[in-house]
Amino acid sequence: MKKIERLLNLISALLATERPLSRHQIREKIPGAYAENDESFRRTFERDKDELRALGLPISMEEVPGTDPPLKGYLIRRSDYEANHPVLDAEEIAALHLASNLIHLQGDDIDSPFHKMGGVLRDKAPAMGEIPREKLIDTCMHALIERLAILFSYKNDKREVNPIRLVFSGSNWYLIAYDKDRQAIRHFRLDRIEGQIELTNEKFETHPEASEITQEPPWRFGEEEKSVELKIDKSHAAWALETVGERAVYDELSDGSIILHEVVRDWKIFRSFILSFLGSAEVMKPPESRKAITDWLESMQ
Amino acid sequence: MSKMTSLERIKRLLSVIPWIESQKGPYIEEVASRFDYPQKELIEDLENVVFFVGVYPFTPDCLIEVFITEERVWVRYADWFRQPMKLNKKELTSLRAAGESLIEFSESLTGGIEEELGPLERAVTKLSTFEDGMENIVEIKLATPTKHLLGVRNSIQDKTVIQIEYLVGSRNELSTRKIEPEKIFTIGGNWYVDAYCKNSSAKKTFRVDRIKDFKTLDEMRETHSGGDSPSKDFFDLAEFPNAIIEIPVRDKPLIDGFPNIEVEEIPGEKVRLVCPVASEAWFKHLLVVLGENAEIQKVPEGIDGNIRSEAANEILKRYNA
Repeated sequence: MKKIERLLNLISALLATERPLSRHQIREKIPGAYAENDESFRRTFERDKDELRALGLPISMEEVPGTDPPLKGYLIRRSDYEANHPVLDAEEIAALHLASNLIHLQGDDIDSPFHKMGGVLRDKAPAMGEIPREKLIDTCMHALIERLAILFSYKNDKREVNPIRLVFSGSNWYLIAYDKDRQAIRHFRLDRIEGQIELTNEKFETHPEASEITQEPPWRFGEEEKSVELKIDKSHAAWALETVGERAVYDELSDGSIILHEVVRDWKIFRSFILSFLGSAEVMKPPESRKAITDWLESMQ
Repeated sequence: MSKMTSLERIKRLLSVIPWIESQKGPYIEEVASRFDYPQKELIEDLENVVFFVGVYPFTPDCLIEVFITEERVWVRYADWFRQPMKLNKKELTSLRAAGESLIEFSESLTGGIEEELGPLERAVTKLSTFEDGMENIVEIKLATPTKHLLGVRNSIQDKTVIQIEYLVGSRNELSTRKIEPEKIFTIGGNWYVDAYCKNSSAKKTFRVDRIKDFKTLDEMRETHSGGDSPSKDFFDLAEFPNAIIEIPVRDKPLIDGFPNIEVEEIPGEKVRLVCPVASEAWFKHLLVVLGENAEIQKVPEGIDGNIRSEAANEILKRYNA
């Protein structure tokens, strides 16, 4: 019997039964599927079971009633298996399919959920945003779905948190979570988590709505605040304003250049922004910021 | 599509069988297209596999019945396969995140929901009321629309030709171009547009935030051969020569704005950066950001070894003027 036929018959047997079937009962119920030799049968069966579970088949393991000593048996409960998702009409499925094609995580199987909903008759749209898959995404997603507390190391500190939401913003993934030691909600940048995330067995209840991840320029977040005036040439002014966003405060000069007034709380990040203009921008005020830039550049001469 | 493995075929068949049964004799062509199942393999699998699937004792009444005519297909007596498999929580979460992200993006782009998004809103609402009202656990915020993104998007929809004044990254100067936008997309927090550029008679990728001025021209689009999406090459970093730089671990946050750099930890509290150098202007920017603590181990051929001090001098000239 071919593998695909054996596996489909195995799924049929597990779905059609109301009582858990022991391994040996399964062999009897699918004649010709498995070897007579017990050891090679066991190996093939275990592999089949693992592969089907990896496909998402909810195979339960329960005690076979009336066996002494108790035997392990297997079945697929219809309530675990059969689709019960909301019924979407063809138009809604097509719209959702378009959205999933436009925006999805790199490496995600986009089509699989749509096959379960009866497939889609529509050309694939080119992706508008392929969201990078951080290596820790899957663990976080699992913890979020199962509501499990997690442990990880961040800024050289061990953190124990209840994950609330994963947010992709700008070009980074953030985990919004309740930090148990600090007893407050914190945002963690996923790529700054050191090493692996450890799942605990501890289930938690939901948390109140978390604060939003904002899309303000990153130099506005930090401790020490200063106001900086940056002159930007006409050629680069529009781009600068796009980068700062709608809350930019600036004066336009007669030659088309601008003076940007920025509140800076993280100087290093703002310095990188200034330097992205190379010779097309100049710090005007305050004098200590102007000096900080020239000192920085002079050290490289 | 390449040949599917047995497991992929099983996964697909678990959706195909209940659908065919529910449709009472659909056209094979439609089944193949809906489920992305190559027609020849589909017929083979239905005739030679599904036909032999059943439950004990495998008498005719316990086997799935498959009946195929030239164009249509019927499946009967597959009671245990009457429903497809459930959507799992991860699938539901991803669908909802994609739908909500597109709605939010569209709102921020046009200031309201477009009519065509009606079905998407309905779908997302249905998904969100499902699973005991599970909270939205994944959120995807696309990059904030830049000033000219709506104009570019409309040009794609209306098939117009536009003229842009564009800040060329590699030369750090403005240039005027006539382009025919074809597709917008976002990577690393920036919006890009793939377009046919009439000035260079080739497809090019432009960063939308570098478009300074924009006007729609009263011109028809030219017909030109399809060709591959230029963004494919645009982001094929392998073709750029690499520079290698070592910096102290504590300076790692400085490379945040440079998403394409590969980072490798090395002994001595340092990290090694492998940087695909797309242009000299980009490389200068990187070097002046990293500062004097960066040790330049290798520069691409044709680039002067003193490029960092040159770049620093160029900027200082302005301060000393």
